[in-house]
Amino acid sequence: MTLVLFFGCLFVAFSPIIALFIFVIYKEAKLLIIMLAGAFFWLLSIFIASILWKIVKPLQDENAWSIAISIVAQEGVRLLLYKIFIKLEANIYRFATKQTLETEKSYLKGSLACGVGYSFAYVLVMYGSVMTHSTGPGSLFTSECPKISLFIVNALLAHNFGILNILWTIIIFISFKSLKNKKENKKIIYIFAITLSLASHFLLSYLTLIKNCKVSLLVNYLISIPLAIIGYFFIKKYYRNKKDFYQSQINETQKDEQTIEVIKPQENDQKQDLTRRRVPNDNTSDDEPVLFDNDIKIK
Amino acid sequence: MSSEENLKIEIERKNEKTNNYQTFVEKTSETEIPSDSYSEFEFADYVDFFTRTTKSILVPVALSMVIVVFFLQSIYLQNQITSQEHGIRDLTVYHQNDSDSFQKYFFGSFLNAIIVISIIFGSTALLILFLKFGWNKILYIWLLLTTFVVLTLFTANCLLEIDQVLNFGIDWISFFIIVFNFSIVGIFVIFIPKSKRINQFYLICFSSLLAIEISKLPELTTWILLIVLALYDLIAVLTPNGPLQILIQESIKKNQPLPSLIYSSSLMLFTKIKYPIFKKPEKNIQNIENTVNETLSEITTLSETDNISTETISETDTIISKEKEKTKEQEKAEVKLGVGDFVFYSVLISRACFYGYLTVFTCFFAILMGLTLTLFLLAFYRKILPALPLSILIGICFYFLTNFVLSNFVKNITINQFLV
Repeated sequence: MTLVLFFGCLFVAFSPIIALFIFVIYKEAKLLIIMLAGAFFWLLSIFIASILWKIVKPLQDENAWSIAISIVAQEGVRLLLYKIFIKLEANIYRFATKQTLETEKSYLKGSLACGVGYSFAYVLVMYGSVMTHSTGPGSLFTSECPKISLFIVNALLAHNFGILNILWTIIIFISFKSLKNKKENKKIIYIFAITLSLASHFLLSYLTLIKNCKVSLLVNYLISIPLAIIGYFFIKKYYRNKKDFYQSQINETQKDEQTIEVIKPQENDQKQDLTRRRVPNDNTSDDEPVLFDNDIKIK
Repeated sequence: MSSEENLKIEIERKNEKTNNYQTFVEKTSETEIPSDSYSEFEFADYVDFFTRTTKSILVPVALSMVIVVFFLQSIYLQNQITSQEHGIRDLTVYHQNDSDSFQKYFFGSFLNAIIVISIIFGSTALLILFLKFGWNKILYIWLLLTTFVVLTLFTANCLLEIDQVLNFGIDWISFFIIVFNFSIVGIFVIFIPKSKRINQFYLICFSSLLAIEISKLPELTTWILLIVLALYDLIAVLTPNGPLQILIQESIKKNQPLPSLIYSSSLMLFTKIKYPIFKKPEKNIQNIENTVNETLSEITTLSETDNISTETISETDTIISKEKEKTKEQEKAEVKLGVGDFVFYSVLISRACFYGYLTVFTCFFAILMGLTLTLFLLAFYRKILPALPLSILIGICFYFLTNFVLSNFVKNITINQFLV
């Protein structure tokens, strides 16, 4: 229904991604690169799934199997992305953010960037081609959902799946990292979170086969709430205090215009203990949560 | 003593790895940071510099691609446009008839692509000639003419196409005024770059206009052109006595910057931190036109940020230009990418756009990923590198993969109305 429907569907489907992009990712350059990498890897996963779909002829008739294959491919590539991200993070980025972020925060923002990239590619490929057809003079309605236009139903589903992809990446990144951490006591929570995310992915995509738009939309939004709560608590755990959690970050683009003094440690000063992976903070104690292993072992 | 032995072992291990800045992970808490290698601060700033330069290059490339796709999808692909018989099609020798065999079609389009590439090669040769003999005026006049032609005639063409589709009607006086002002300002800004943003805007416009025109070539010629151009780029930049190296040597001999169309994104850095010093390399540029032109890259150097620079700049506090007053403690660094690279990325995207939207989305990510990888290699090798081949390789792979594999999959999903 002309440009009105087009812009409505665009903003419904892409709003979480656009918001996170503008307020979090565009301010730091490395997050942009991580987002690109996330999108690229999602494309690789869907290529794998579609190649399998094309080769194996009987799959083309049954939708359930194609869903299973593509979900397995997506989650597998998410795990691969996690491993690559860990290696890069360990070698480079932990030292690159000395001015602005602590190490846990940089990891969390990196995982958020991965998630946003993953979901951006997802929504573009799955919903973008449908959305571009909405500029025509009419609108489509299906018999299963006669009152809501097809474009809007798909936009709402894509919106939800966009948020869910971000949440899944964050949960999986944090939980795998915490499972590696030897100081962590309650590992069952993280295993539960991983299984919940995988199960919810399977559940929600199989629900769309039912073709009752109200049921699928309702259940989608209902399941995304506990996942969001889990994600919130996971992230909040690694901030020192409330003020840190809600504080906005230094805008990197301001660096280009202002003269911000950066003080390099002079030789007279005591050398900072930067060899520890965690940026030292005076208020730390052993009880506080730690995402990374800080004890570097000497053999 | 075991602790002393342990310390010695650590220090030995440390000294083994000092030259390799990738092994920062395995530092211990008791050893000191050696002064020969990069300390953590320098490496951090290096990474920061790398990421910010990639961002400053990725954004304009993405913008130019979006402009090209937007224009082509909304205006050029509507049926109201009459077919273009003049323009870049005048360069093509072979025009496809439906009755031709595949061999004839292939060789004809190959011939068309070879014509375009020989133009590029000839223009490099002419450039080298002009530089060697020192005929700088002719060079500048040549470049001026090409930018003038692109900024006037191509914008005029685009405006007329927009007029045809949107049917808003425009009289020749206002048309002339708009196009003339746009082009004149562009020429001034491109050749006397004082303001950063307007210069960048005009270079993006220039590259998208060129890309829109080049995308009107027939299909197979564009693919062959892109592939052969990527190979040519690779060869021309990396061979030790190739055309690019000759041009750079000439420019160094004469201490003159090369006149060229280059997109530069300047960043402000901090002088109190000691940055790693290297000649900031650039990407190769291939810029083609209906007439003949080729542009090349420059070398800029990051000056050493020792005490000398800060003292002199603080003394000369009352300098006339505004930039230096602001940048008392700042140092300027530039990353440069040639306009030709912008053009051919946009040509690839336009070719993807003619097929459908799905190829556009995938090729977009492919090109940007290729660009980040080339920038990473640039930071690693610190030489001039060709920017075209990696992105075009990945872009072409993704284009054909989506066409043969992904489009049917996504069609199945959208028709059966389920989500993966």
